[in-house]
Amino acid sequence: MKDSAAHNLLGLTLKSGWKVTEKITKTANSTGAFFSVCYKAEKDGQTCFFKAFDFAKFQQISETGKQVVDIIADMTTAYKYERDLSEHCKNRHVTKVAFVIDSGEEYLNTYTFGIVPYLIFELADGDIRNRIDFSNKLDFAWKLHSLHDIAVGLQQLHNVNVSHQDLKPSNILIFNQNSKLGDLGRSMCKDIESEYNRMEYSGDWNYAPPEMMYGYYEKDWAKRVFATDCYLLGSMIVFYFAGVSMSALLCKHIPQTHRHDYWRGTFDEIKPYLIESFSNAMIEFKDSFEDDYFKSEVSQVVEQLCFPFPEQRGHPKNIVNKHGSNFNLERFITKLEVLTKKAESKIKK
Amino acid sequence: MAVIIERKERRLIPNWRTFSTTISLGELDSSLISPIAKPDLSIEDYIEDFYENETIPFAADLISAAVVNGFTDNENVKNAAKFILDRQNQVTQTQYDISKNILSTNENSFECSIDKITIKELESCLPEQEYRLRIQQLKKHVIDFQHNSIAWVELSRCYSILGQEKQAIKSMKIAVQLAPNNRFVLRCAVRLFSHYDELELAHDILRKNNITNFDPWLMSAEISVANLRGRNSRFIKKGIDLVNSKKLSPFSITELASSIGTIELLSGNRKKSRKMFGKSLVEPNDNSLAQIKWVLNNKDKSLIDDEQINLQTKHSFEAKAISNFYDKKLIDALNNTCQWFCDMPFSKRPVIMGSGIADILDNRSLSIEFLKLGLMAHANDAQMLNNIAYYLALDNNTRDALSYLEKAKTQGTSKTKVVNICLTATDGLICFRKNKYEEGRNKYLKAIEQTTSKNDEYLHRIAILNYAREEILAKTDKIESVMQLVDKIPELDEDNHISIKKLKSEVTELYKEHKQKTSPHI
Repeated sequence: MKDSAAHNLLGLTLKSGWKVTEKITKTANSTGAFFSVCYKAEKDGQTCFFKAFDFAKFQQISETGKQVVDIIADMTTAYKYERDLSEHCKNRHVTKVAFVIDSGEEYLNTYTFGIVPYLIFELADGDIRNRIDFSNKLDFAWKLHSLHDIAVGLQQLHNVNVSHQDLKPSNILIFNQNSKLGDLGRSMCKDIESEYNRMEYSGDWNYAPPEMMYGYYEKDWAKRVFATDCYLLGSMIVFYFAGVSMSALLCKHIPQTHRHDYWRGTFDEIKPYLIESFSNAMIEFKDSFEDDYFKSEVSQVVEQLCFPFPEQRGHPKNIVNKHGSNFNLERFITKLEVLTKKAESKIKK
Repeated sequence: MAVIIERKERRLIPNWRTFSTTISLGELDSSLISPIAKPDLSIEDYIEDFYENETIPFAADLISAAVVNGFTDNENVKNAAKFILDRQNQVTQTQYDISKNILSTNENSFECSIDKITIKELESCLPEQEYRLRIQQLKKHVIDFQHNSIAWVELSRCYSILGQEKQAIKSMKIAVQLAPNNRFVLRCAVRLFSHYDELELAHDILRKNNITNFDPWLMSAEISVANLRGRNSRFIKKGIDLVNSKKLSPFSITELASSIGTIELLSGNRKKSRKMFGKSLVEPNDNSLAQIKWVLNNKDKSLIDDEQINLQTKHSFEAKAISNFYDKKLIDALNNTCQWFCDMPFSKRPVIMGSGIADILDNRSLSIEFLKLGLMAHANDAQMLNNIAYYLALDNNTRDALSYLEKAKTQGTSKTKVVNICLTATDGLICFRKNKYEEGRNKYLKAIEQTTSKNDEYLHRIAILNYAREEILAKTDKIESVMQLVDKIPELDEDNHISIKKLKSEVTELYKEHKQKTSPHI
């Protein structure tokens, strides 16, 4: 670390005018590439999140047997991809995503590995895990508002051919009362070449949809990736109200021998059992609500977003309609907006 | 006259239990024995986040990841689970339950409550109200989750337990439409359709299904149903190859090997049959155990060394009942039939056997109780109605006996030749008990004649003994002539004629008493 420029930026004012004011350990905004070092940086009175790419890290990784040139290439690709993807979205009316607001590279000649490419993001108050309170019933309206923000953010990404793929609590960033999607680092974009585009699923396997867990991959890129995002959005709703991910809730109801890590049959063979588990998971999810109206409405949204078979996921009207995508989130956005308003008016009463 | 042990041929028709019980028995596991590659997963980030923040959302995020990817034994995950449990008022019920599961030590232990049931709990074996409530819940469930084939199967099971045949078949057909290739659904469907004598339907869903080519559990059922229909199965050769392939676990092929073993035995290939039964017994299930016990007691006593058969398999109540019955451990056998009935309340066989054993043990009220519970699923079953009438008549309750007999005659289903003979004989019994001796005698003699023409030795002897008892009790002048027939019945030492032995000793005793009273000098 002593010999890594990326770890020694604190107190420096960079050529771009950013002053690095605080080194932060793992906290808000900190997910993403594991070869980065995070700071707070200031410029023109604005404090931002500063993500420095630690190219010296290749020394540690190369011990695992990977070629140094490959590691450096991976790092460069990751850096460029995140920067370009952010740029791609920023200019296309995407507002609910935490963007790269500046990027550049700094050279510190006193270190063996002196080049530090960096990305600067808006600084969030924290991620959803720092904000959510499962025992506070008054949080209900806020939760729905936050989920609406997430759905809008996802749809905005989908509109510009980007699939987030890694929606999870640590990637929902809080900015005052609003929520934004963070970490596009594992996103897939049809218009930008990336290794992720060749992957079936690029997100965190701990949140992966059931079809991925059981090794079933839809061949059509758009269908596969947007179905995944639908599931992840539903899973976030489950986390907000039941306090665990949809995958965890589903696994709770899957018998041991039918779990993805035990099952040796095909996805088609597990389907009847998955529906049974999913039905029971949904019954349990419904118990998370006291109010019958919200119980029914929110559960219906989750059921449609998280249906265990990707081809049956999405709003029924979109599935029936031959035109457009099954996975268009507009109807869910409207529903979440209506629910938010109802919840807010309930509080005011 | 009652037949106390159903002497029907037994084949490997799948047993049908609830989905959760079937899973716990391992019948829905993958058949392959090859290991699976586990993806390289990590929860290190979640652990780090939890310790840095130590709040419920971070703990919840960690246990979520752990549950999904099987890291629940990790000490850090357990710490997070404890963290959640310590804050019961601030967490959701789901978070609490999952944390509790993580810290629970006996999550894999299988405890079968039915094992502990004895005949004393017979009445609680069939909680009718609970089944009706369950039907209500399931009906609501299948409205909410119409694609859930498993729920349709469960609904069908509840209907069949309450004897609602049409609803049971309709629900099962929906399940089969929803999941035409699913092992659980197909096996349950085969059982239900066979149960209602819809053998063609049961056969069609298997023989026309591609999955039967690969699934040993379905192949076994197809071979058995084909045999019951008097057809040759095209899966026998494939089945033999599958049993010998060593690609499948011994448990997966237990029913298949037993099915083929039965067919080989019936075809006279004793050596091949023994080999197949040997393979089926490496890791048997309750069904293959019951089959070998049936074979040994009804077909070929020395096919396999009985001593080597271990009955400690889960839910092997039928096998234990048969085994204990022929070993003359009648109380144990009675408890086993009660457990068997609790396990599969729609099944007729435990009812007939349980009531029969109770009769042998001179507990006719228990026999009647057992049969009346059986009527829940088989309201008009002629054999059960006849047996109730028979036991009631033996207790001189001729009025009720007659009403059951009439119902059996007019509305009775499953009226086989054997049942018809029993009905005639029971009619004769009621006539005797109503002092209409001539009428009763005629009916008994008609029944005996029918048993002769049917060439059914067992039934013939039962009919003679029943008739003899009535002549003695009625103190008619036909006693000596009927006793000549009784004397022709040899002193059997065959285990499977325990009911004849009992009847014969009763009749002999009654005859002795009669002789003593009529000829005090003897």
